[in-house]
Amino acid sequence: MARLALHYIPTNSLLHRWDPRCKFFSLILITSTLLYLNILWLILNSILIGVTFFLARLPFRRILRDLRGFMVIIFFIFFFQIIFSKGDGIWGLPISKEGILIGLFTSWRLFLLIGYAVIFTSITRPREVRDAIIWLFKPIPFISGKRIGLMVSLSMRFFSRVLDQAEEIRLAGKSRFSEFSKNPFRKIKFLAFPILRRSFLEVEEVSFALASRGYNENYPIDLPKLPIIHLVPFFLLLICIIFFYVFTKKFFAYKVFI
Amino acid sequence: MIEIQNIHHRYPDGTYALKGIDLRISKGEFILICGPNGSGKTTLIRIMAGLMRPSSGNIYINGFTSNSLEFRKMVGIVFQDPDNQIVGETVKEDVAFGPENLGLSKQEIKNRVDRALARMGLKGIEEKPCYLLSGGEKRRLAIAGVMAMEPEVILFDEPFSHLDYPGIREVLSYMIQLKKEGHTLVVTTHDVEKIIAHIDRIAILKDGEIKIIGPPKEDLLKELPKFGVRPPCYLFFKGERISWLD
Repeated sequence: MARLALHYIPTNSLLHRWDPRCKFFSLILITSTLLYLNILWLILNSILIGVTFFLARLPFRRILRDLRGFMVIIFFIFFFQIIFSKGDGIWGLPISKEGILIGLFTSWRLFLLIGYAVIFTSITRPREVRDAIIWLFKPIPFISGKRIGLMVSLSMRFFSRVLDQAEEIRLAGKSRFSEFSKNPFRKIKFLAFPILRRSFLEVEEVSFALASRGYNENYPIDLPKLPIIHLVPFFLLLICIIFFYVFTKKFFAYKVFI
Repeated sequence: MIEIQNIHHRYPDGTYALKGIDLRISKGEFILICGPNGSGKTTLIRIMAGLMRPSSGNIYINGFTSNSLEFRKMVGIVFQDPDNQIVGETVKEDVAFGPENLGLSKQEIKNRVDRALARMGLKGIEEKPCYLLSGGEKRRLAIAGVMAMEPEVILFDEPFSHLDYPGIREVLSYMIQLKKEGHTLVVTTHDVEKIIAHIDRIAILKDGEIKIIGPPKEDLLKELPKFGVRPPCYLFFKGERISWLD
């Protein structure tokens, strides 16, 4: 209840008003830079996330609180990386310096990806994403953009719905002291199975709801023309990334950490 | 027994769900909190269950604050949607979930599960998968899950939603039985009709504030429409309070 992360959060910010197609292209562009497991790119992305959070006027602390569950997953990934990565052991422990670095970088990158997902879903309505995808696939023959758009927009809705339901089920479990259970497998069983069952039921309900309201892929859709001015931030971002790429190549030709 | 002092609650989107709630509920009392959708009923009942912390204010049960384990052991909550509450694969497994979490002995868990199943009329379907239960059975199972924790106070959030007439009568009769056994019952609903004949007091919640509170007398009930709640039918015919169990 009242979880904000991964929901659309209506405010009248510049980013909210930005054309969803440009947002979509920018998201693809910026997240592709995370393929570089390099500290400079990670720093750049962290700064960008901070700036976009500020520009989107999102409640940072509240959203961070909503993401506590993800933090646990990120911690486990970090933990497994430091345990299972090869390298010289330190302080006589079964962990290596390389493992700690890989763990840190992987966790950081994952955190940034989640951050981008949160920002994108906060500033873009699922319907806008659907329309952007339809627009994108329009020139491509034999691929149903409408179907892909519907699937993506439903997935966006479902993902946040599933998290909301997970929160309800967690609360219901808490009312019966689920947090006292010492067996982690039992905890997972009593949380994951009900969530899965509810999710499948909901998928069935939504498919019935779509059918009952006469959904078909041939409905006409009126996509507005892409305003040229909205492309300016996208191209600025592109130039910034190219510049940063050249800069890192020239002045940091060697790999930074990894 | 339950003491709510100046509770305020504000959601992160800025919505004020509760604005200065003050309420005292005596031991063994059966109280109805009614109000239209969005009046703050569910938020209040979840705060009373210790599942949510209010933005400000205090709540005590027998002198214990909502942060304490004693508080949480004294109170059980039946959620609006039983599907969210049922976590076990079978009826028996679900009822045992709470006592197992409390770390009770196997014998004690068995005793509590058997008692709860018998009291809620679920004997004979212990091994039935929960997803195959009817709406009424699911609601009874949700109550049985709470009963197995043996709380003094039981909170019901919209207990009659999605239930047919026999299902409503069934849940209502179990509530009356619980009251007779000495439990304190707090029920939230906008559907006053079904429960009015059995309650001790009624509180009307609107826009996060308790507007009126008192015994369910004619004068008070006449005020219900002002706050978006339909009064019970007998009031229109100037008759006596009618129970759904009669």
